[in-house]
Amino acid sequence: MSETLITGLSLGAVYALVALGFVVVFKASEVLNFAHGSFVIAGAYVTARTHELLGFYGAVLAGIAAAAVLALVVERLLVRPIRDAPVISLAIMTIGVEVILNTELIRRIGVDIMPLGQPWGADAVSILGSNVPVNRIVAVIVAVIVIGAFLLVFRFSPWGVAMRAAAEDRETAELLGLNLGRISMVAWLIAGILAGVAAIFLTGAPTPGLAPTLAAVVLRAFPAALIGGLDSVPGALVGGLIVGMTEAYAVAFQSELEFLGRGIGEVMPFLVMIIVLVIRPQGLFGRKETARV
Amino acid sequence: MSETTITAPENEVGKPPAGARIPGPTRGPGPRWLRPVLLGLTALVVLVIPLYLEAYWLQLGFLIAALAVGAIGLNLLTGTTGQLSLAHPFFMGLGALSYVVLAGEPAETSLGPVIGFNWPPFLAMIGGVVLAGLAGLLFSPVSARLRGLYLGAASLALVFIGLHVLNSAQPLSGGYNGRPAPEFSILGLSFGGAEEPPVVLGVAMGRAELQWYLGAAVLVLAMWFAKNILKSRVGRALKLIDGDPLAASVVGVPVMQYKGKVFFLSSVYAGLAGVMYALAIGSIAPQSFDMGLSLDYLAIIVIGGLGSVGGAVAGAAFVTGLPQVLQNFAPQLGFLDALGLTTAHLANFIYGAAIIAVLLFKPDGLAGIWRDVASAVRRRPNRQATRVSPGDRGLPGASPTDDSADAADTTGHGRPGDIPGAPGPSTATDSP
Amino acid sequence: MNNTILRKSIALAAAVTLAVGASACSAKSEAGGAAAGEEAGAVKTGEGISGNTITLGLLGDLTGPFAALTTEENQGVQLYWDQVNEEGGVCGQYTVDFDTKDHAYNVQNAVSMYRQMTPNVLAYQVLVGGSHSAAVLQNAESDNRLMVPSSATEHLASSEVVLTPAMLYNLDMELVMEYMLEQGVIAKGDTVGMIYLEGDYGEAAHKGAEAAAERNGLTLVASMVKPTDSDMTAQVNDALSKDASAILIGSVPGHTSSVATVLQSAGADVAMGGSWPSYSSSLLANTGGDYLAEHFYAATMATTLEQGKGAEILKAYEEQHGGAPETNQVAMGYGIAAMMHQVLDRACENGDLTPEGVVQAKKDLGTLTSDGVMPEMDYTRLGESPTREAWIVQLDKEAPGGLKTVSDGLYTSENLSE
Repeated sequence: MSETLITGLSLGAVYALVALGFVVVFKASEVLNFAHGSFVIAGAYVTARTHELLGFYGAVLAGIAAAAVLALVVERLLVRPIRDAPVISLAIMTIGVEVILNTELIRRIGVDIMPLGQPWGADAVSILGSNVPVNRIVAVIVAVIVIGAFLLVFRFSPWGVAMRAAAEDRETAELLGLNLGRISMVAWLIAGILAGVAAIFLTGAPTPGLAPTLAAVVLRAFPAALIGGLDSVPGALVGGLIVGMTEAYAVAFQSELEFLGRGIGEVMPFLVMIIVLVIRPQGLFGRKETARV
Repeated sequence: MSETTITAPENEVGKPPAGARIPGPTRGPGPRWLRPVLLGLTALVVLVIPLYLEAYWLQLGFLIAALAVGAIGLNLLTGTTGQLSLAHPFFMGLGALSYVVLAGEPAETSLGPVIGFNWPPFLAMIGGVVLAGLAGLLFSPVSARLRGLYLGAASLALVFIGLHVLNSAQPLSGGYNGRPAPEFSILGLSFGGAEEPPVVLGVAMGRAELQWYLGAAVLVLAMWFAKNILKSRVGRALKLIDGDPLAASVVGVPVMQYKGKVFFLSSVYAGLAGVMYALAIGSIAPQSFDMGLSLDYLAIIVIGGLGSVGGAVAGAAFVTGLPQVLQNFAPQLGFLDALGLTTAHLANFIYGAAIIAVLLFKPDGLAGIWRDVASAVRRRPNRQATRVSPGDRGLPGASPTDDSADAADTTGHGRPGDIPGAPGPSTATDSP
Repeated sequence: MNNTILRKSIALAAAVTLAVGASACSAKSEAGGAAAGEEAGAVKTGEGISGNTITLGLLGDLTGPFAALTTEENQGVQLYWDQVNEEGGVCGQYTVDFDTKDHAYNVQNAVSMYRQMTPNVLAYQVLVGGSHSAAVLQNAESDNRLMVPSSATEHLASSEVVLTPAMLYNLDMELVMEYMLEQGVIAKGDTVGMIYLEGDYGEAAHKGAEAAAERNGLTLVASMVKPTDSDMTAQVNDALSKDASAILIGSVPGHTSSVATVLQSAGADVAMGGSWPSYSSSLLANTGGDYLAEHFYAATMATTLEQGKGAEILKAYEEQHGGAPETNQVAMGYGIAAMMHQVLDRACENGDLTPEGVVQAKKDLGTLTSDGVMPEMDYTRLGESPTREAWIVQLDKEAPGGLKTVSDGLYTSENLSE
């Protein structure tokens, strides 16, 4: 069963990276970003397109940069001008972005599955008697480093402090002279970077490469963000791990779960999300609304 | 007659910005004769269209009507009350599935037997609506507890659960490829396969023609009901919940209860839309009820104008009709080939861009554009006469310069809401 | 809305309706009568033919997941009919033209477009998508439109108006397994893993694998997957932990690729066998591509391009498009066009090129051939596989279209289920 545990952990780490992207953006600009999946695909696409030219690590940088710039452009040009609109309009704006980006990216990818050229390829090592792809191990290590770095920035940098203050009370933060626009900009930039990093591991072994179905895979980070609480950074980590584990165990026990209909594994993260939200409408670690009505 | 001088400045000063205008019980814009004339013309066009258009366009019209009914329901929930929901395909799927099972016949398929109850289609349609409503009722305690965006996310789960059920419950749904939807029939009038369809003015009333009229009738009812809800106290309470839930509860609106109720109502609309959708496609397949449809719906209500009933219909026509119309102009769009694009790509680009453009430049969507056009039409004759009478009741023959009409009405019938451009009564009650 | 307004509107509407209706009535009804029963020479024609031009429908997916498949299949169809048109057309009289539409893999679009195209097309030469074909099937039956789907389910094969272009999925899986047994890639008594897609394609393949497993004393370890799953680790590991000697795939190419990647990273030396929709030659470029080239067996319904008639098609294709196709869907398109040609010729001979006449011609002929591009197809027994033979192939980077035939010509096995 260690196999399932390791699969779940490594999947969870990658989902956490994506979920963190949702959370950062939501915290800084109150946008539920449906376009985040397209940032991931855009990063993967640029990496896949450039890895022969730039080498893998150069291509990774290019991919991350592309995802970050894309996020920044969306924030500056589309979200910023309507930042005072109702939160629902902001969310729907990102749906418009997602429709356009996904159409174009999926068209470019076509039916081919594009390799990203990870140097570790399909290599695997044996841990506790089970074969684990190197891709998964690198994913966990990188996720730990990236998330750790993010937490440090979030806790100690002036931007992090300002952002937490802004998330706590936007009006007061503005009165105190905090630049909400800058906070939001940096948040989107970070979300883009996280998307670019996650792209590498979501398309690595044992997945064959970048395929149009990546959009559906990214969508599973959505319940992860909600389970943890859309405005909670530690929540994204816990949510990611819960979804990763749920998925791994649902597949492992698929014959036992057959009474729920075959293929229930895909639905499980969403079921877990509903249960969590019914009990805690703000997610496990989310901040309760001050005014309950 | 002296008040006429007051209204001119009010036109400039009292006019709220287009984006802030709250749709609802305020009287529609435009000259008073405009409304009945337009309604009459619309009714006329709807009635005679089947005499001229090919079956394909009529069927597209019915499909648009199906989506428009669903969009009106979603608009009550999302547009008016501010509760984001992505679960519409779930309730539509449930309505469609119930209809197909209730009206269908038991049969053997290559995947196994399917169940059917052979109900008359009209009863099955009601059954589908009721079951979708019940599901909405079951979920409404959850929906009432969740804030707007969290509800959006939670409701997405329903879409995945719905797809899973449609795929797995093979004896009901026919499984992965779905099962055919029984033809609608009412009062002995069969919509499909009638040996000798009735003939009206030389045109045989086949499936497409009858569906067109069914779609128009259901859509009119759905619009009428929604408009009345919006005009009522309930409607004003819902808008207040969107604007400021705390204030709503302070003035005595039972917020949780209303949120639950409006969720129920929107699932009833979705169930009805689902039955029509199944009739339009002719079968139910799980793929027809996936997340793409959730996004389509949000696009529809945003492009049409959040909170507007007519806007929901216009949005449905835009989003549903666009890919079909573009495909028909494919030969004229030859440049697409050179770019490696298909018309489906182009339709997606246009519709994504339309969402963005509406939110950036015209937050009240097509409905807002319509209001602008209508009030431009109205303002022109007013300017020429430099006067307007608040009491004008919209007789087609009564021009604003008709003194006798003015005289008859200057006795205090004028309501503030009748002053063109001034905030209507709803605006006043909505901002305590 | 106030009552006066409502009453006025209704009165107005009613008045104008009467006026317009009376003066311009039945603009549509007159147009309707003209098309049917047109006579050109001795041949009776109806919808789908105007003058000497037959229009065939190509309703596929040019935007979604099957864009490449549709494009190349359409090219193959075009290639065949271009030649026929040059040689004088159907029974030396009618040239064939196409109405091409893109449903973008959306069922509702497919139904709408079917309705729009039908009055103008004689038959559907291409109809991509299993659910999409199933959704229009009932209409096609009442409209008498012969159609060639891209899918081979029992459901479709049970209809009189469908030309299933391939062996049914269960027999296809059995055939591949029998070949692997014959070659000693797997042995009786082995354990064999299987991954199959939800839906009737995957389930039929699973049924076939079960039948073959029972016949040959194999133990089958099967898991069902969804199209959106992308990681086959758990399923493959499950099979490996039970010492599987092969993994069968009744799913999409992405899953085949993922299985190969997992096997390669586990350092396994396990064979793979797939249904005909489970592979595409573009998989060779991915991680796990080398593993596939060595270990993967599957059947194809249309000849590969390095042999026989396939080589001719390749040559014609290269002349037209200036390069080799990426898959062998071109051959498939060519083959189904040849079968359609046979049907249309027969209908013309019968003197009835109406849609009904075309369906009747298909019934008359019973068995269709395609000049060696596809095996002989027998459509006389509804609901059964039109053929019991196919070419067994492996993926090969060097071969045109990425496939090479490894069986000695068409392969069949007498062990296949009835």
